[in-house]
Amino acid sequence: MLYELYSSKLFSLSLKYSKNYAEAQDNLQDAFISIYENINQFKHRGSFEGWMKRITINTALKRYRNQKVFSLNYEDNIIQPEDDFDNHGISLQTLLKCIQELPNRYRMVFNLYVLDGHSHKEIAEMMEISEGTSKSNLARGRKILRDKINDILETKNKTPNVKSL
Amino acid sequence: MSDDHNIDRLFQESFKDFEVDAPKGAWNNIEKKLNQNNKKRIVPLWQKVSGVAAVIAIIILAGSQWFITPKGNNSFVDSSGEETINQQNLQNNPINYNLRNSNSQNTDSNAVVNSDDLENISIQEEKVSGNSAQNNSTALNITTNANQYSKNNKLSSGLISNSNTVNPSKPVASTTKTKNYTALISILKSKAQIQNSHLNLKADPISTKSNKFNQQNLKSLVKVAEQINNEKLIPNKQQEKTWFVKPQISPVFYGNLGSGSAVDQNFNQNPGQSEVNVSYGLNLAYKLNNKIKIRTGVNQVNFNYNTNDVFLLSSSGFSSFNNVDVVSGFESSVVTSDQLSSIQESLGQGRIPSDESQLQQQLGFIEIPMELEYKLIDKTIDVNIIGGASTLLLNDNSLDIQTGNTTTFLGEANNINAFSFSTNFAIGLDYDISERLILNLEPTFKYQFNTFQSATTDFQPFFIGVYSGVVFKF
Repeated sequence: MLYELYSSKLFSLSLKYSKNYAEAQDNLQDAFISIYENINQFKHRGSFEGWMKRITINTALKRYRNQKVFSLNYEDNIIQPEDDFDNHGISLQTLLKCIQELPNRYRMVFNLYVLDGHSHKEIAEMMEISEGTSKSNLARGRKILRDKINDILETKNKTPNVKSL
Repeated sequence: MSDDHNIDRLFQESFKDFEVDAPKGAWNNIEKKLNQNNKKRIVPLWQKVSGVAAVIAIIILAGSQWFITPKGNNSFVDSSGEETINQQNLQNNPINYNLRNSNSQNTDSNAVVNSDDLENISIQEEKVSGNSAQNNSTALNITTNANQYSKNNKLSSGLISNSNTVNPSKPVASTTKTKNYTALISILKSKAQIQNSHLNLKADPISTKSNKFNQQNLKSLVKVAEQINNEKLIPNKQQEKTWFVKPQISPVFYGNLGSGSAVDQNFNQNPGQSEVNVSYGLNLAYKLNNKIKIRTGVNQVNFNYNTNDVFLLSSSGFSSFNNVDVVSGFESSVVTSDQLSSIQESLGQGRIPSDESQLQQQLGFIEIPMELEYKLIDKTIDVNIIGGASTLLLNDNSLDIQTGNTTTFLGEANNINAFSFSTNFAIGLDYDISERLILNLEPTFKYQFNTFQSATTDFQPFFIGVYSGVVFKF
């Protein structure tokens, strides 16, 4: 069924847009409920998967808007083990953690712009911010990520056990 | 900047194929929430439906009892004494027997119903409503009302007038009680019907159905997804219309691609021109595929070709019409200006009166085309190119000479073949008005051959038409 077909895709998406695993799970649930409730509104225009992805992202954005003031902290940050190291020697899990640890709005902008290919104009509309804000948020998000990655690489280089770059 | 780019690329490449299985418990939560939502939504809807149904039922019942009854052959107070109380409605009702009893008593004993009887009925009736235990507050209300009515003997004027019209043959003496009785029975009947309808409503498994529907809805979502994929692969196959019928009409401009005159070589040097004429007919097309149609039809085509600068001499014997069968009564000659001046030279100026005239040749054909239509552009306005040939059957052939305002019949051309042909080329513009209708405009060029017998003339006719019509699709 639909859930089985698309849940992993949409959950991966949710993970990127959420600050931890539990929030991603909530997001997935809300997104699927929204999908089922609005399935009649799918106009058979464009791809169905794209439509579901948009709903998932919108759910995350809605959550972000509601959480501007206050957010709950979830303890469990478990992600299924991923051993595939890329050529930088940083695991996907670590990268995801980097993204998730970004402040909400930096994470949203970074995901939308870098990973899902939206323009600053689109992001500005989706997040109800100005294009300038979107750009500066992206720059700050990038800087935080860069610093984190550099830190990780430095620690890795000091440890003898890790694969070389 | 390149640093930014590196960061972007690092994440882009890492997350390109990023896919993590959704947590196992997630679906259960989703299902739970979906069911909750469905329940929330369905219950008020169901209540609304049943509420509306109950209101409608009451209105209809009330209306039918108070307004329709007098016109119908209502049974329970029929003066003939026939017991036609709706057995089904009251079948399981213990008061049925009582009603029948009292009813027959009513008619037999000149409609004297004692109040004890009524009390009795009311009490039993109360029991019945209790026993039936449908918890239908509406029904109970009616029952109570009925009891009150029967006990207090207070009937609305509407009910009184009602029973008056129902029992025209009834003795007046018994009216009050009979009225009371009639009203009671009416109310009982409506109550029974309400109960019935209520039972029906209850039995109607709308709620279970809608639950099932939701289940199915969820399951069929996969099918929806599959369907969407399939729809992308398979283009829409609509039942295409394959036959096209087009009544059409066109102005035709007749012209000469060769040289000379069709009437006689004498007039080769004379200027000539065509008058605008008309072609009309019916075109039939069959669609072979999306691009190609084969078409035929039948058209009437009329041509008119005038030769100027000819002179009518009021004496025969000067003109030669090699290609014309001159009508026997024609006692004049038609000559060119050169001929006229040589005649006048030899005979002397003014001996024979002459008038400048115009030779008018009319030709008519029945045209049977056989053409192929190829669709070049398939947009709002379709553009087609059409090529083919026509067979032309001569059906009108006459030659007139017009002098001033008088036109004289000269005869008919004898050099025209009964069968001739044309090669056709056209550009068709189609605009879809509706699913069944197309507006069509078709500039057409047709080059004729074998129209005139060979060696009689160098006249090489063609015609141009702008056909327009409405195409009917079948």
